Amino acid sequence: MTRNDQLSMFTEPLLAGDRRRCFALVEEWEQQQLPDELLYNDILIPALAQVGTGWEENSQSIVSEHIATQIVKQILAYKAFRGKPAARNGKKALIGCVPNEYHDVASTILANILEREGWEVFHYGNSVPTHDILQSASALQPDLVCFTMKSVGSMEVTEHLLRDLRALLPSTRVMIGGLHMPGLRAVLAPFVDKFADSFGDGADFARSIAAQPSRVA
Amino acid sequence: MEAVAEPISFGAIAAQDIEEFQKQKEKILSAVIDRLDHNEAFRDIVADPERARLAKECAKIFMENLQATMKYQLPAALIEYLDWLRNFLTHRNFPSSFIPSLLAATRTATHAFMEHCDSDTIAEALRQLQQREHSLSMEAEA
Repeated sequence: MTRNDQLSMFTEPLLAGDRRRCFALVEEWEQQQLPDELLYNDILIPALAQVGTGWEENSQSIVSEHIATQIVKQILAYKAFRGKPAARNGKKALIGCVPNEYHDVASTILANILEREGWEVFHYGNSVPTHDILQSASALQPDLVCFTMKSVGSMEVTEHLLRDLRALLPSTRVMIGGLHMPGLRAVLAPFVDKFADSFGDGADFARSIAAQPSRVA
Repeated sequence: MEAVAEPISFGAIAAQDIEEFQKQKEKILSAVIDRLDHNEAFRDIVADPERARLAKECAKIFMENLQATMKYQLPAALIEYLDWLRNFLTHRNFPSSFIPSLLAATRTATHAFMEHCDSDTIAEALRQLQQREHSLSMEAEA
């Protein structure tokens, strides 16, 4: 069975909101040793993208789109629960969306990946106010902060957040995912150490930080 | 597509004009929504609560994106949003004149509420966007 076959098998019940069928498929593929990265990159994300396209083109309702998202989030929670993390690497990551961004599936996947690689992960999910992110970052002193961001509408608040974060925690590394437009990247570049193009790219950057000696608090 | 390649200029808009736009944004948005509500071409949309809600939401998000685009000089981001919006609205039976009307209403309202500033440069960028929409709809019809 090709990955495309698996994607079609998963997308059909996902579009129908059939939770049990989606969960059963994931369980079946888990028994077949399907690596999590392939599940995330080749099945869950493309399936959700199809659901999103269906919503954009008005063939799926917003409720169907939310149901599909919830199914995927529950699978990710299951994966987090069942995952067997590597030994702790002594590094902490704070992960979530920039303010005004509500699409937190990608940040949830990254949280799963980093946790499995031995990071202590603090995943707050979707939009929270800038002040609260800064307060938590200050208390946690993370080695890495990962944000997801998609829209130009969040630029102003994100620029302020990153500027303040850099001033507050100059040695903490900052990574952003989901931002593909060069112009947007250029605006935020002074405050960002890495723009991740994929989960693999983000994980590689995290590994490079994990390989460095821990900071003295 | 010629229209897609045409550059949209936000470079001439002065920082103080963007600041003023930001200050007046809520008033401009209200005026834009009011103008769309009273446009005869959109009577069906106004009468349909779900599409009326979408129209208002689109105007609000457009205004946020316009402001960020002006501030950070990122016309490509606004064009990407308008391209997405056109596809989204087409699938919900919005007339092709909706986005040009949104842009025209924003031009008019910007002039009205930025009387102590230079609103011409913002209006010119909106006019170029309107022209682009017009070209795209001509291409689609051809």
